[in-house]
Amino acid sequence: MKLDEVFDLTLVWGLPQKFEDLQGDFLLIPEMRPYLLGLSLCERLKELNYPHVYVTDNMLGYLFFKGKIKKTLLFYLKKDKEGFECLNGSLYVVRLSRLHKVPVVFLPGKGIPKGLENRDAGGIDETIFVKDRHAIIKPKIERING
Amino acid sequence: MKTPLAYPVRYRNGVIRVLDETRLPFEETYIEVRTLKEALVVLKEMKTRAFGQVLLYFYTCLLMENIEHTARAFKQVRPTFDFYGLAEMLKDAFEKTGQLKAAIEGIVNRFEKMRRQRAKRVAEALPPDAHVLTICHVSGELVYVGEAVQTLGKSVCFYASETRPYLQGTRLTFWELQRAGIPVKLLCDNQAAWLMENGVVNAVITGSDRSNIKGDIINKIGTYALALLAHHHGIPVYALVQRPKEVELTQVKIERRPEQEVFMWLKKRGYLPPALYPAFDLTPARLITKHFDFEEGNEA
Repeated sequence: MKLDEVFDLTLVWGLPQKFEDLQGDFLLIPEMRPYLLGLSLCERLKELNYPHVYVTDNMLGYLFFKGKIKKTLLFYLKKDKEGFECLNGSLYVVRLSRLHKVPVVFLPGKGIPKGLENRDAGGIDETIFVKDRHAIIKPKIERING
Repeated sequence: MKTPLAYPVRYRNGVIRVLDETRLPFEETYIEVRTLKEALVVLKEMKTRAFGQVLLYFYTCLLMENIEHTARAFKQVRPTFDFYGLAEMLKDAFEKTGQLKAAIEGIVNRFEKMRRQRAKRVAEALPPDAHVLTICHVSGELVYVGEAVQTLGKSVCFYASETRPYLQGTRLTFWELQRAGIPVKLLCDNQAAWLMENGVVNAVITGSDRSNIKGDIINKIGTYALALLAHHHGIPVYALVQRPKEVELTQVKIERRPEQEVFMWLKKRGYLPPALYPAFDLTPARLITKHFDFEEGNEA
């Protein structure tokens, strides 16, 4: 897909509890490393016939810069008085959204599917590039103020 | 030399030997190039890039005994990179030496010396206990920076952002720094904001494929996001640039790589969604704290 063909994208970060939250928008689905949540999310969106396009996480900045994203939907894990607990990488998405004045909508989401919890930057799918686990920054639950 | 990636392309007896970066970190293998066509395949398939593509261009000129035609052919494959600038440089050197091989050797040796000197200047700019976030791969120069930092009695730990989809940060930067015995940690690209917010990193170093006099740079996709986040957190961003030109970078065609490459390194799946793959992005000058040119005195 060409960049010129996409506009008014709704960026999705995290896993939704309710897929109706995604209805009616052209959805931008990032990879969501290290878990690759974006791929399984796209499979579901295809079944639902929701329009979507996929990128790696590091492409988001450029898409914000080009004014391609109109809204961010952030699916959080937990909400409290001070804000939200969110998946690894959420801070990256929220900061980039706010620095480009793109509104962020927080919605209740789901946790990381079983079997994926131990993934990190050292590998992707079954390919392990770095075995020295001490040299890898572990994924975190990230806190975001509301 | 502590890293083969500092000098990934070599020439001997009519054959160019290219370190196949796509096979790293699993194997250190070399591809032999004897024609322009083979050189273009190597370039297109990202077997080498950054300083490697500079060397590949020069040595292909030697094979072809032609500077301009080779530049045009290379530019078609990698429109973001300034091969015409390299052609001008080579023509100037050729006029002085009268021999293409001597002209290339002169340029390459000068580059190597300037990269070492630049690494020293970068090391001087870093704080005494430097924690440096970086993206993609700058052809061995971070190893030089690491060595220069230690010579100055400072300490450094690099944080290599994995750089999807090709994973140059993981496969090249992390690999070469660890192999050289320089402290390094690996992160997913999306963990940069958390590292900055929590005070883990205190500098960012990036390379650049193109730069202009204004100070804007074009570099691997993800560079803009890092620079913007660093600027927001008051973290200095240092860009390694070469020969900035009077050019409007917004007019430079950003290379769009084949869509399927977005899924690189992933196992096969039944459904692969439609994807976007802009391979580079533009970082405006206002987000960069200091530019380190090859030549001291051109820095801003």
